[in-house]
Amino acid sequence: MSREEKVRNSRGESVELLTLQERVHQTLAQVNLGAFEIVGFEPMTGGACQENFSLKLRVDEEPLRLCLRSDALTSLPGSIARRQEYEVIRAAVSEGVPTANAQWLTEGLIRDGASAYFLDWLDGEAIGARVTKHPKYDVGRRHLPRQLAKALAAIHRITPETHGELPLNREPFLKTANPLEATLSFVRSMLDTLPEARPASELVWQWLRSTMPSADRLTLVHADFRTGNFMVNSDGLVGVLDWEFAHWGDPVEDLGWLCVRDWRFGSIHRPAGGLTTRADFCALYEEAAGVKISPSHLHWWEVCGNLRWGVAAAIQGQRYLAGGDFELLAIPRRAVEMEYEALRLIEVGAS
Amino acid sequence: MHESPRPDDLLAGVSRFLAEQVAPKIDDRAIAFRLKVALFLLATVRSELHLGDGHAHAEWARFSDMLGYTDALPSDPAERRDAFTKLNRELTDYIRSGTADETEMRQVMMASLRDKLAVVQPRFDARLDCENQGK
Repeated sequence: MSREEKVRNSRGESVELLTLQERVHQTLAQVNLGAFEIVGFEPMTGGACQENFSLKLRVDEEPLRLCLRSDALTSLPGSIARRQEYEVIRAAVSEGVPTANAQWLTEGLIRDGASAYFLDWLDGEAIGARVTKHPKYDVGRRHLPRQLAKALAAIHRITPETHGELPLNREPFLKTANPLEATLSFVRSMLDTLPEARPASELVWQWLRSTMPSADRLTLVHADFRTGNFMVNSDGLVGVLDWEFAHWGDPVEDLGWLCVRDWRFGSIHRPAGGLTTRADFCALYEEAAGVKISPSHLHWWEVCGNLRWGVAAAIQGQRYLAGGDFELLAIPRRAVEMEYEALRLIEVGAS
Repeated sequence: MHESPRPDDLLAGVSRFLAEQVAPKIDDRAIAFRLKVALFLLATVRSELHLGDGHAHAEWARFSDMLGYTDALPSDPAERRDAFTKLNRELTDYIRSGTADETEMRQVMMASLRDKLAVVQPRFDARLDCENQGK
């Protein structure tokens, strides 16, 4: 049995895939699924932050494909548990956000204390460079900005007032906090865990602190709304993926994050996700959401997004040292790209 | 002093072997991707071997004045690392104190970051108007 075919329980012991498949079978036998059999069950590589399994079923003789998504042994700073993610996804689906629906939240399926749920399987392409450049998506790419703006506006219709029951009220992103200060303090706490001082990041952080705009809305923020997390086909958007950083916050955060340079995948002249200009995306979003986006407010969040990703990249070195994957070694030094971009943006100013 | 081939020649040979003889034989997409990552990291090491010393001197010159240092940059590698750890810590404290000229600091910082980018991401377009230069 290869390393990929094992997962570890809370005591670090490996649990064989077949045992796990049996437990998945027992879990699904308790939901209202009908007569079913499992015809395929295997761990998915890539995306690596959570433990995901591809699951193929036959239900009443019809094929059904799902993804089982479980809490992993370690989590990234700022990420939520699957039991919270599940509620966020259900709320997003009810607001009409295109995304994979989540069903059957369970506790302790993969290991003690870990929550997991089953996601609808979406077919399509999410790899950034193919989404921004592959000729197969030429037509879809033209539809994407408007589809994404509508999806984002729908996400931002979810607020503490409309969905007070969502289990998202956590430090530092409390409903009562200033959302910009919350983000600054989140980045601060990541910066403070780094083994080396990063004066360039510090300089960006100080600029952000002294130029902080005020948020006029408090909504659900996806917080990883960017090319690479959009499932796309030849017609455009299939679904928005990966809700693990969702929090209450300033909705403009999602627009700024989308414009972070690293999500342009070779289309640097299209700042909004390598797909269109900032002005074009903002106009589409304004039309869908019925609000105005100030360029300086967007600029602040784009600078902040670069800082957040730069600091997060620097942290990956510690995840490697803690036994993480080889690929993590390539990320920490990339932090200087984001630091430079943040300073460059400050020099250029809002556009 | 060790005889040749020198570290850079060894790394260049290993990189060429991996790229020309190993890569074509790999069918597994995930492993092929990791091999690309490995080659990228070897290129980073080679580039740092070439440029690192010059970058360290330039960075020391940029910031030691600002912090009132009078010592020269140590040549012993461990001492040099310690010296930069201290410099980065003090530079960070200086920035946090709010007394630094932020505009000047940004210019100086960006010069150091351009050097680092030349090593870790030589294709990074560092021009201030780079967004208007796209293909």
